[in-house]
Amino acid sequence: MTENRIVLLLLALAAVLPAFVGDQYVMHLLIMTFFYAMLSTSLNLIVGYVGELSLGHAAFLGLGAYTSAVLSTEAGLPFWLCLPAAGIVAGTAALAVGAITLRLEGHFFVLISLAFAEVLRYVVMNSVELLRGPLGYPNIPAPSLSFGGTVLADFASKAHFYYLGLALLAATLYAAWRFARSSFGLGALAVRENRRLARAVGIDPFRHALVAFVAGGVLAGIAGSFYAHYLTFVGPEVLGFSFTLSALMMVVIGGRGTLLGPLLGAAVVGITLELLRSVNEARLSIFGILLVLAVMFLPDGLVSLRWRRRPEPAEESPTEALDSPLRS
Amino acid sequence: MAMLEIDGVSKRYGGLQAVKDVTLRVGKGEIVSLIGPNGAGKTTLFNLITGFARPDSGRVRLEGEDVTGLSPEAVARHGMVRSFQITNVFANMPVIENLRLASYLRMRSPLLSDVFGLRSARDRAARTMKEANGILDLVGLARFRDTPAKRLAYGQLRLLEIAIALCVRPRLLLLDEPAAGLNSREGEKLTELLRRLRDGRGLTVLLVEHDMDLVMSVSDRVVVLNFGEKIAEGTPAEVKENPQVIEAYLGTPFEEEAA
Repeated sequence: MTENRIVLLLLALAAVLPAFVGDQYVMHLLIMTFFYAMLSTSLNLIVGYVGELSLGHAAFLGLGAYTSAVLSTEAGLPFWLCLPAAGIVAGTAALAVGAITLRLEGHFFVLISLAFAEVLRYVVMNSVELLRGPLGYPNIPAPSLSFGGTVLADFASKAHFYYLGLALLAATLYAAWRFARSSFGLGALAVRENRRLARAVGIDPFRHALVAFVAGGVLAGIAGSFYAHYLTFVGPEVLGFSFTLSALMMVVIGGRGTLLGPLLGAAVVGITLELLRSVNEARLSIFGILLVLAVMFLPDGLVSLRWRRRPEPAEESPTEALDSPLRS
Repeated sequence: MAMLEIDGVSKRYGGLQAVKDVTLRVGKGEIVSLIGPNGAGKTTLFNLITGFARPDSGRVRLEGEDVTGLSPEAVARHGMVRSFQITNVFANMPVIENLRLASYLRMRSPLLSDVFGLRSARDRAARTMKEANGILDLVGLARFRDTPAKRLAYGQLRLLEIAIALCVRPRLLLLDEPAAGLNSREGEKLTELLRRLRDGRGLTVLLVEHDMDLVMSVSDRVVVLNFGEKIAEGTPAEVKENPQVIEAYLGTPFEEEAA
């Protein structure tokens, strides 16, 4: 079964699940899993496909969430306008930030990306007049879908939100899949695999990193908008490092640079985090250990498990192959 | 007009004058070898030509067009493509994917038609694939098409590097020690491949090489560097006889070494 089919199958399963699960708490967990899957898929475009470690991803999530919060509570715009606006604002910010920081390589980029998100968080925290500071925006209205005065879907109910989240996740995955399959994704892959050689064959690492960064920013902003309208509250913590960390864990544990990886990661990490709620203090420590173990024993993530069991194909020239200096 | 003109190029790293006022020309369809003892500045000169390092002074022109100080990717897009001294391939990918990545520039369509998988983008991808298969045949790696690059033997990897460079459709191919680590049989195959590239495809090649058999049999001209300076230039026969070269580079005359 190909990766795409597995993804489609999972989405289809998720689509019929509400028929069997009525529990509101389980529904809530699944909706949050959709949110995290969107967020980690967006981060995966940068971490997985370009190979740049961005520790400031929460900035784009937060920008999307705040855009939605401000536009819907202050300007009274409907969700369906707030959502694309959130994507545009986050994407524009990603373009501005990326155009400067992606010229830096390696550690410098990592640090600047982290600093950007933290600075943004402090600015929001201290903008009490403009952005309500630590108070945040409560009472963000739920979306509604009506046609000619008839309400088609009322998102005050969990089930409708569930399908909204699932649809947005499917759209996010589709966008990521299209990106990865395009020649642009291919170029990004070349940069990740061997930057020097990529440049020698004419691939511009900066341009590719920037396109992936902006795409990741747009998708994170859309995820942020969904988050805002679902939880009905947005405060400075959406810009916090913990969101970036969670998404990063999901990408690494699930499998970098794959479509399925962030999805699996979001499900496994999200559900484990929830199960560990009873031992709240130890939760993050346990996660730290899990992350270390994952990197040590499963560097390609959960998705690599299913290929590992398959026997290696017979080698064409076993004696020659032993000489290969690149054999790991 | 010459394919490549290097005019008075210099580069200093701290106290080390790595390349000093080097001028050389490579004509269209020529195979020119750059030789010299270790540390003579051959690889630095390659880096200066291909944009991986910026010269302190001097100009580099490709068919009359000034490419001095351009980024490596821009130089490659101008049709000057290099290989590396240390084997450099996309190790985790199958051979054919390596070539597909290298053909990237020609596969690329406008971003939107590409992302939405339009017909024109797909056609372009198919054409590129066909060409990649042709190049695999040419270098003799066709049967390893789907083998991950890291499983290839050393000699095959060197051929793959050349295949990768060819996928960019270079006018000028720069090879940094392509024969390093090859056995004599593989070396002969490489010589033959280089001749075929020159005669069949009209390709111009600039070569850094230590393997004297290869250099002497394949080169139209040989340029000798020592301590960053050009000390001699001529046909293989002329360079072999040049006393300065013998002293600086070969140490002992050819006849004695062969004896």
